[in-house]
Amino acid sequence: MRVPRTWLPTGVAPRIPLNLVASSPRAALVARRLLSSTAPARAEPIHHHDPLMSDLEAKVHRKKHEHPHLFDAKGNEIDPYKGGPSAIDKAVHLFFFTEIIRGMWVVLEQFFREPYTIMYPFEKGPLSPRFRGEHALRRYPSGEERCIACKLCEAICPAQAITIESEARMDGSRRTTKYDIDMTKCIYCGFCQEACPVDAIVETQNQEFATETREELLYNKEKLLANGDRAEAEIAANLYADHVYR
Amino acid sequence: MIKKHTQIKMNNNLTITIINILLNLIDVLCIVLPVLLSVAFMTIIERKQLAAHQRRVGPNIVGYYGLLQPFADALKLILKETIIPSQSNKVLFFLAPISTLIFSLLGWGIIPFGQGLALSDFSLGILYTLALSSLGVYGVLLAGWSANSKYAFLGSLRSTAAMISYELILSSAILIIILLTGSLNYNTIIEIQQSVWFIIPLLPVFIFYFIAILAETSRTPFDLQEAESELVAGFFTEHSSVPFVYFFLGEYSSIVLFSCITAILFLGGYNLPEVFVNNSIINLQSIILGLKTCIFCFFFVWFRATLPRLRYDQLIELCWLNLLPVCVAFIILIPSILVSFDLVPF
Amino acid sequence: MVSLVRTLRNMRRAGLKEWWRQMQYIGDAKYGRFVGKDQFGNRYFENLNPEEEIPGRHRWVDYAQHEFHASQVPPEWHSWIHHIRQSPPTEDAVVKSLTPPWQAPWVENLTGTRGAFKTYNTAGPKIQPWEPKVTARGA
Repeated sequence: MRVPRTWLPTGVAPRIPLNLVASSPRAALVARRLLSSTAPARAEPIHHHDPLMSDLEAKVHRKKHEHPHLFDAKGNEIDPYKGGPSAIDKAVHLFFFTEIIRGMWVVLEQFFREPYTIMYPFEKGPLSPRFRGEHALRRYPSGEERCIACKLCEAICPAQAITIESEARMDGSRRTTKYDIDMTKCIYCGFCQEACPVDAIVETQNQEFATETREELLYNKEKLLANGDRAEAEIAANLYADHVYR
Repeated sequence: MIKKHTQIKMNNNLTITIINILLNLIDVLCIVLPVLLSVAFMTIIERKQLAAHQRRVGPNIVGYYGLLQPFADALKLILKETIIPSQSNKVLFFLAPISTLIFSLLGWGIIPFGQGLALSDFSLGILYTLALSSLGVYGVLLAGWSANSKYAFLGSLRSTAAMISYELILSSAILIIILLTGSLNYNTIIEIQQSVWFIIPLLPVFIFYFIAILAETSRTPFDLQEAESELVAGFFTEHSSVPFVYFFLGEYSSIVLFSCITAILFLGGYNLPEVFVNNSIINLQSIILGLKTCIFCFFFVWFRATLPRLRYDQLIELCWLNLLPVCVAFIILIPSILVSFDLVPF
Repeated sequence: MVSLVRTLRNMRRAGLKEWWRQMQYIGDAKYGRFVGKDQFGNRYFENLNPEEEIPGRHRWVDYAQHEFHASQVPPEWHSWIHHIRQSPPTEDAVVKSLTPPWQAPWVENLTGTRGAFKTYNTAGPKIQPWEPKVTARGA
């Protein structure tokens, strides 16, 4: 059974809490203007058991669908419509399209407000320092490349997008000779940068690296290092911004 | 000698006839070209206005503020491939969009854009309009049937039923105006509204008239034929490229046409009330009619931005069980008032 | 209608010439504080007044090139315009101190041009072809 609402005895106008009227005229004005947030003064829809059934059925067999009488503990009959709108109230709302007019008013209000559209690429939406975009290989401040060819990223990569080959360098340190990322396979999960013990492979905040051909997305070590060389300031600043959480 | 004389006379008659035909053609072009242009801009207005209602920007790349978008759209549609379903009835498949466009453009022939500024000042203007709006159903029906697609067929069935039902409401509402004016001529109706626009005494009639024209032009909330979620695109599912452009133009032309007719029937057409000076040096009448038409075009889009689509049985029920009784009540009430105050115009 | 008032106000404040330029690119009249200019000549603006600019639209860039592209913004300004960092790189101490001397110049996304990235193998060949060596007989 429907929960009866409290209704003010006023007519079609949207309900305003009386204390608002008393406190400040501006607040009352705002309450009146924001039809969308005021309580609905409308005819309640007929309750159906089957939402796919049309109204016609119920209207033809009206007698069948009448609500059973309700009684309280003392045996007095309860009027379930007592707190609700009167039949005249309902008829008025039906005939004067109050619901539709309220809806149209809300829509018209929006018409006179400015749009929320962000004009990409001139304006851009907010990104997190943890945003995972195009990959890059970083260097130490001295210019020495960080990657030590431990192949943890290759192992953890769920899409198996990373291929690494390594050799000992002339000075005896182990470095990669091949560090390929197939960006068409990559799912940008960020596991590689999580796995990296020396913060060598990172995902930068660059998301505008779409290409016209597939081949351009097969990144090799030089491309990744170049990405890191160009964006080192941004990468380092983002890692610094996030370091307290790591 | 006599023979030669007659030949000259015949030649003369022929030239006059040809010149007459050419002049008529220019007359028609003077109406059709601006109408098609306004229809093009109606599409961009609809998109921009819908966007504003939803607090978006809408198309804004092609031309300043997206003003050239309709031409880009038209170019795109025309350059597309025309796909003809192999099992379709090809004659009717092409006849349908053409008839839709022609019937909606024919309606402009009797619209007075100013005093004496009409292609034809037809004494039975309203009947002509109603006849054309009935004929408009054929385009929908033919398109749905000829395409041999169940979506198109269902869409056309739905929209045919809706259009035929709501035509009843439309003609009943117009009947009330005819009772008030005693004329079927648009000019007479406009002149009678010099004192007061019919929207003021006939506001309830205007409301159900407007509901009826929303359904007549199959706009939301009565756009069941185009219910994208259930039917792919309605009766023109199978039409692409130029045939689709014809449907599109026909649809929007009928929106502008009905807005214009509403302005004439309820807002006094090209006249402003006598409080304003109407005899300025520049002929403002067409501009006034245009502005009034814009009001109703705005309403069309405003309704589309607000109201959800009705279910099919609700649509038919609203027409036959709710609107029609009210309509009939008004048809009884208004002549009664006219008779009792001895105001019958004929 | 608010847009109309806004357009006229921003037009008056930014000046007709600036407005005309904005109409060619952003397609909207905007006015705000000039924040800085990057090495490519792109100009960055900011208007933090929520009454004048909807929050989210308060930072914008005016590209120097006619053929503008989102990747023409260098990474330091990229993190400013994406609201990753609060202050622009000209004032941001962290970004300044973390910029290494060997930082390479930024290159925009050159896809579709002759400058597009072409991948190649960085490792040496795995299979060495057999090179026949003939030692002289009887030596």
